[in-house]
Amino acid sequence: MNAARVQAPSPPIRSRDQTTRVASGLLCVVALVLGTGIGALAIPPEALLSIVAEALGLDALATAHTPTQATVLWSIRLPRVCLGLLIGAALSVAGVQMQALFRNPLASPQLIGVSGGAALAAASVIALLPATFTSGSLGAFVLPAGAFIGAVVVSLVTLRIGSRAGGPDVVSLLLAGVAINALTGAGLGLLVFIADDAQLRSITFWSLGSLSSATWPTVAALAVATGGLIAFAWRHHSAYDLLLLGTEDARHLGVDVETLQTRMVLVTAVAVGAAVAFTGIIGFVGLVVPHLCRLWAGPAHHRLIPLSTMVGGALLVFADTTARTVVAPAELPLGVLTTLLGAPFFLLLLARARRFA
Amino acid sequence: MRHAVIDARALTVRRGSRTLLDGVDLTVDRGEKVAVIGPNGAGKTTLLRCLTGTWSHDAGSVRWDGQPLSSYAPHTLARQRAVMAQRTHLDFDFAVHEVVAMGLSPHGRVPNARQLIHASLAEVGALDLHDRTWTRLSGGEQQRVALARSLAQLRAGDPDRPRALILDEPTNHLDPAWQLQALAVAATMAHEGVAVLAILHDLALASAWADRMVVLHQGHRIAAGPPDTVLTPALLARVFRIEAAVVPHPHHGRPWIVPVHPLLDGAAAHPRS
Repeated sequence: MNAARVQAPSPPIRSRDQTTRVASGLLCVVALVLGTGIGALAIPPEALLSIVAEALGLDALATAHTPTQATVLWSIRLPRVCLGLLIGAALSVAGVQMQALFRNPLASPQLIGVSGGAALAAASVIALLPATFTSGSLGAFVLPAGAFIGAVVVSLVTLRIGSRAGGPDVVSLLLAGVAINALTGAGLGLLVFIADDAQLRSITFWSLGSLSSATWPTVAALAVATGGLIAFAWRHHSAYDLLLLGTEDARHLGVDVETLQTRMVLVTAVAVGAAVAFTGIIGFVGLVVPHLCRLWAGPAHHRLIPLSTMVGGALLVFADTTARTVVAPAELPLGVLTTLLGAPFFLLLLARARRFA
Repeated sequence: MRHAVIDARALTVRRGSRTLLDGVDLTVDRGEKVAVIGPNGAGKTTLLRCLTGTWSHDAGSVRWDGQPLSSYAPHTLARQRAVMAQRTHLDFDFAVHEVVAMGLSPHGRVPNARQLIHASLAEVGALDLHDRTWTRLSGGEQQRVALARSLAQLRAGDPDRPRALILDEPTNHLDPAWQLQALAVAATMAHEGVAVLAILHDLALASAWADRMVVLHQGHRIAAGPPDTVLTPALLARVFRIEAAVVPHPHHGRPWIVPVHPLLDGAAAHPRS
């Protein structure tokens, strides 16, 4: 900003990086403590530490909790918080990735039809398959599997239509996505029309999004998908910066643009498909979190990707903790809450941006 | 035998029924400054896109250091060649030094990155922009920063390998002083052994700067050679549709074009006053 910093720009930037890293890490720890601690049965931080000490075999320190607290933590709270961290991180990093692909800070994974495909497939499973497939332990597998396949297949169709001979064409991809989303929306409408009351209720609740299906196997599946997404994005962080210059400039700076863009769509489809399959549609996280992080640390992806991972995970855990406590013992649908908070915030950003322009 | 860095032969490009380029030859050797000139729609940008590999051609060949251009991976070319577009469309709030650092990314970890970024910005007189936000710069400032990015990209490369700097109207958004400075920087690069190719609109600037000029008109190469053989009143009338006096420049003796009036069909001729 001023002439004095021109001489030595690096120390302040590096220390700011450090602060950012520590602050976002702390945010995740706070999310973990609040997310596991708050609920019908409170688990205060000292009980949490005591339970962890017990798990580590340090029985002398494990004196501040009851067995019920330990059971609730291990089988209910912790998987749910872990799932929240993973889903939040996946949606946010996928948002960052789509915004780099479309060179537009307003892009989100929904544009390539992931959520629409998942919703259509989930509704098909609920409305068309016999109830034995969609309830109980079989349902816990069939519904996510169907939604995941739907998400990936619809994204692949969008990619296919949105590609030219060489590779994806961003404008065609965007337009294909718009049309595909309209189609899946219409398909969903048809299924809602033919569904009976019980099925209708299931479809509605699925599409509102929730972390209530959290189990350790779910967490493990999401850990693989989210881990893959973050590793891929991190590996290409400097190429994502270059993509923002446009495909020609990026190519002249050594990026194999078509291959990278195709892989970005595929990785997003799989990771967001997996997230949506287990939790339903959780809106605005992939849009608002990267925005917040850009305001905080700038647009360079070597800061944006780790920061979005942490902030996205923490914010989703905060939102979920709120969703399951404000109207306890009932649970507010998480997707409704994130959209209720995210959309006005987004409009605020939009209004501010216009004032500065 | 040493090959020209860029060597295009009988380049022909058709799009639909239109022939955009028809049998164009162009070579740029190490340390050479070549200007491509021509009126609007002559095929300059098409030629540039073929030379950089962005567009494919329908006939002829484009070689880089003796090998077909298409046989190189983008990553390999980016270590030896910088291409500066007419305009950099970047709508995100990067700091200026981050934009310049993008030029270093094809080279992996560059040990003296900070010095390179500083030196490149200093060369285009933009060191004071180092920490500014890219999106808040004026068009001319952005143009200079984009040039600094290209300089950093080339300077980080291996000087023993063939290198090229390709510029699409680099003086477009600049005021006269920076126009001269931008071309002086390009000349410095040529002096360091880089093959420099530039599309230029300003004939006087091109004449003063280039070792050789290539004139395009309706997709054909009309003339090529040193400025004093190329820039004749007859060519200016035929290709650029201006009646002009061509006189030696008082300072460096290269041809200096003094336009007199346009020779546009259909446009009413203005009475001379």
